[in-house]
Amino acid sequence: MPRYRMLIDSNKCYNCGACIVGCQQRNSVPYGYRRNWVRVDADPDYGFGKGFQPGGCMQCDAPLCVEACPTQATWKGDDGVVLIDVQRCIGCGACIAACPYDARYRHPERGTVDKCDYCASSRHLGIAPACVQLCPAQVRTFGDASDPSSEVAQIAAQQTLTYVESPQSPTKPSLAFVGATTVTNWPRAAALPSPIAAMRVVATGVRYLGALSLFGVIAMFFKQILIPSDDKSGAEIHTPASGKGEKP
Amino acid sequence: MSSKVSRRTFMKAGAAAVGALTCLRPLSPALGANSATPGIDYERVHGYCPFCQTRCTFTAFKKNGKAEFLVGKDGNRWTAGGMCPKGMSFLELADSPHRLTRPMLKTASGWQNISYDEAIALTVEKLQEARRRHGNEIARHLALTAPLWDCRESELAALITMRFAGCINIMPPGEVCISTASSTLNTLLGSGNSTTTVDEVENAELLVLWGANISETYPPYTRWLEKAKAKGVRIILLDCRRTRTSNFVDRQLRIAPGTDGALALGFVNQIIQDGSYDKAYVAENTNNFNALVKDASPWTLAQVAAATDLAEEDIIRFYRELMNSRRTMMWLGGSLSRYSNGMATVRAIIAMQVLCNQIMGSGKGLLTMESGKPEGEKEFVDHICGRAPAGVNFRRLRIAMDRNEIDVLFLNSSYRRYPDCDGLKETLKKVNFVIHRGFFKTEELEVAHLFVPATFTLESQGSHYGAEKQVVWRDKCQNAPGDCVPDWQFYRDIGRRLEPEKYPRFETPSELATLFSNTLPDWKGITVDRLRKSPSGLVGPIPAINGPELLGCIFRDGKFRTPDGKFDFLLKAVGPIIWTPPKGAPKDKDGDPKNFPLTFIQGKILTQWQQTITNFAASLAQFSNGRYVQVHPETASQCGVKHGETAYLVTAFGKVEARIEASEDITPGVVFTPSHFLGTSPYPATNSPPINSILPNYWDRISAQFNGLGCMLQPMKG
Amino acid sequence: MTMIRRHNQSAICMHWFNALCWLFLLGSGFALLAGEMQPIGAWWSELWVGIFGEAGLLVAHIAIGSLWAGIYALYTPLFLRRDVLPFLREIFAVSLRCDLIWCIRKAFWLVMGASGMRKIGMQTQLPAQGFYNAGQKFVAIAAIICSISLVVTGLLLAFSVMQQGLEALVRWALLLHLCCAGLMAILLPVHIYMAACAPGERPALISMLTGFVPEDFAKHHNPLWHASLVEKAGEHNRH
Repeated sequence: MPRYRMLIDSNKCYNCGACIVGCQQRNSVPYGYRRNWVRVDADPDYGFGKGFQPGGCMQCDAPLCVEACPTQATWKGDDGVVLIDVQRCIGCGACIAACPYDARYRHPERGTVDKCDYCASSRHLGIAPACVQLCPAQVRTFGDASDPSSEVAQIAAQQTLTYVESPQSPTKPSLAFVGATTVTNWPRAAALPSPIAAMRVVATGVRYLGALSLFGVIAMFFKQILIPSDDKSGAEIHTPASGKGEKP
Repeated sequence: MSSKVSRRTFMKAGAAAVGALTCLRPLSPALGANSATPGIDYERVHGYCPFCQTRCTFTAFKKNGKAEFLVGKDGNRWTAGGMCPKGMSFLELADSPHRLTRPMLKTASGWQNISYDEAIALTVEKLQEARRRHGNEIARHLALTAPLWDCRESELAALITMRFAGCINIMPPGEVCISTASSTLNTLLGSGNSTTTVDEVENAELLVLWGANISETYPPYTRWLEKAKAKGVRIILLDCRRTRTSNFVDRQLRIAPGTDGALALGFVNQIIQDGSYDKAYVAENTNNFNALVKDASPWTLAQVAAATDLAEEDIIRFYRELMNSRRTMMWLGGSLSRYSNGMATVRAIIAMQVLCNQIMGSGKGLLTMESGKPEGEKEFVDHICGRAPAGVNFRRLRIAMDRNEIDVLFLNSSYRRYPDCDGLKETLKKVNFVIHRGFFKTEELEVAHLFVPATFTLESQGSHYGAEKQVVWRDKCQNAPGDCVPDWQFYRDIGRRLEPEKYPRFETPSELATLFSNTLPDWKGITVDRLRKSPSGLVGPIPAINGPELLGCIFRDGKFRTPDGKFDFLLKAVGPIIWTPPKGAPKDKDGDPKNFPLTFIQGKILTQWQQTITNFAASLAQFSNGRYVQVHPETASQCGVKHGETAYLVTAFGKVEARIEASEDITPGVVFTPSHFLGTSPYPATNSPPINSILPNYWDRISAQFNGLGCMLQPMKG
Repeated sequence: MTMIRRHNQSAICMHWFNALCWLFLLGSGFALLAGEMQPIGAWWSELWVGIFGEAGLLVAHIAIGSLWAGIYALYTPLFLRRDVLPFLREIFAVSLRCDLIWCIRKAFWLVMGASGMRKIGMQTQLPAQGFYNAGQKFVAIAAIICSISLVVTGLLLAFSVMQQGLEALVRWALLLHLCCAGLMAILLPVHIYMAACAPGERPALISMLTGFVPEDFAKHHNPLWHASLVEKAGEHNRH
């Protein structure tokens, strides 16, 4: 099983937007919505006074989006990619709030959440992800990190990598920047919408009360076999037909 | 009993309802257009981007008769598989809901759909009528404006048709923005293109980007800056604006707009004065050196500093870097051609390189993205139609139209690319019959009598050329909608009716390209078969079948391509190199520094190519936010306008609304705005009246020029 | 032994249809949930996914849920007078005080028997019950409220993907969906035990198959209902 990984040399980027449009076309992302982005930050080290940092889903090893999803629609695959099963997604947006990178959006036509999956739907064609393939500056490198001969494994082995991670909500991103990059502390704290947080409490309650109910009646079933409550005087005793409720 | 029946009935109805409901929920991962579908193979069709001279090549992945996505060709030595968003927008534009797909004739009651055959018949009738009326004088009464947005075969088909119709007035593509550099290079060196190929930047010691904003105007070529940098080449950028390109250079000189010629002449003067130019080379390879000495003599360091707003020490450092470099390449930006003094500027820069023997050899020379057209077109048309004199340029054509002398005009591109376009609109209304070839509803429909819809790049085969003089090929990927036809078909169908016997027989661009390469000796090796196999295209000329491509310096015999093989510092038809501020500039004699103290410049931005097509792309509109003017914060506050607010950009010729972008990326006193917004764009982010409606009809000897004009920013009242 | 009709054929069909749907929907619904939001455990999800597949499970849940809601949507108006209104009338005939007393005493009776109850000084007599006893009524009321909530939230969850801007609503709907399902999951074992396994309830279980209960059983378990039947029969005879 390959383990896919992307490395980005942000110093080469000049924010032409090819990665964004290429991705939108390859993956049916409506224009105006994005699976990936280029951050623009003031940086006096650059002649333009601005540095660019391309990004996308960081394919985290401790993905908070996966934890937030109530329906198992998103998971970290064995191939290193955080995936979404649109057939399981109900578009509740919990994962969108939980992602410190805002790497997810709700697809306006499908109603389900969408994110970078390293162009999984076209991998069988033998072509690199759109953002990698179309980038005129070859900013992004993509490949199987488990294969030591791959370009991505070699860069990872030979160069210093920088990780961009939320200080409040660390997620162990697998996507990394080659050398230094402009800004590393921009990801926000992850948020979990209150109804989704409450679902955990409710589920715990259901687990214990349900167990109590189920095992209670099972216990009662055996109790009645062993020590029946068949005391005739204790059986339902009816009152006259006119009576509503108990006779004193 | 009744309850049983009803139960069965509602069971059935229930099942149907459940079926319907479950089908309603979108369950397929591959919803919507243009998404790659897992497990499905695609037909792969090769093509190229028809926009800039980078000429990126791509493979379109096609399914169900349509391209679904594009992948740049990794094997392309010039682009390495990169593309920019402009090129990718074609995928969307071909399917655009705004696209016009039926020929239309303007009648008293408005536009009426007609058939393609009727459109052709009507056009032929108009041409024949003009011929009957004007006889041998016909050439003065017909004209065509390029560019045609299709392919080189379309240009050839159109040129042949025009010749047979008697038309010689062909307005070249890029006439208003880039012709100056191309024409000057052609006149002085014998080739209107780069003198070398871009890969040579890796062999230079110094690369000067002279007004060349590579990263924003030809994005995929930024990789050549990176490659040069990696080889230790020093890169200097001359531009009054900090742009994305600034990130890839060692140093930037923020020179005042339109003063590049003064800086170049200052260098010429300096090396002549201190005798550090290559005397032996100049003596052997040039004429009229004394004229140059005279032209450059006024440009002392102090004069240059005063003209360019550069500090003297920066100028000295720049000159020293030039003198110390053994191999210098100059990349001439399109911006140089956009001032009325552009010709003097380009001549002076070429002179700098010639004086230092920096034209011929590896790591030397001049680069320009402004042409790349391989030679041979005129010879081919002459071969088929017989020789014909040259026509007029657009300045003269406009005068002719104003005199009601033009009977038929083929308006292939937007008239809004010409300055004073509002005045031009009135002029165009004086033409007897205007045929517009286009894609969308634009202002051109106001002046056209007949509209015939054209095709986008994916919809026809054909070849094109790029800045490296490389020829690339594309195959047809998908059918055009409605009655849209490629230009080669449209002009061929007219030409066949005009001259059924003489018009070349071809059914596809491939047949015409083959005829072309069989006709011209230099094209023998550029066959369609070979083009199809080459991911980068073929750099011409290739005189022998299977002959090698020749990269690098074009002067392989060490001689200029002038009649005597020498470079002439004096152009007799033009006169000496006299640098003056751009016409209408605050410092120009025609300027009005009191009312218009700011310097206006306009140019391409990353997401726009020309006046129409790119503005109809939602994929590009998403990066845009409407017309803006970039201005230094100090200048903004002097004008009483604030960052983010809408104000008027005013010239002596009109005003346009624009959002203020206050930024230190531009030098004080200068105002920049993008060239290419469109008044009929469906997207607010790209909708703005054409900038040319507030620009004057100023021309140098070759093309229309208006950068450097005086302007002002005015707050909106109330 | 005299048998009296307790349930119509239509009501019996609907009961068992309802029972199967509830079991399936609860089981599959819990299996659809993820991580800490799943009340049973990962093995439960794996079991169901093993049967239906990742995608099939949600499709099946929505399909059965829609079927269940759809059948009820048709059943309710068609059988309004015959089954639905009488049922609603009976279950909402709540007398809070004696119904609570019934529930408490019944529970104690099951746990410790009548002698045990007497020992701690509790009365053992149960208040007389109508067509449904108090326990059945409370469960039925909960079931109706939860069913309506589940249908509304379920439809919202299943079809909200077709509409923009519903994300916040979907999250609350999901919470409510879980709360209702969770409550019914807690009550269901009690209902099954009381109806099918508790001592002396066998005739009630059989009546859910045949429609008939022995008159003695009715007299004993549902004395008020029995009395009203007797009263009606008397009126009929008088006429």
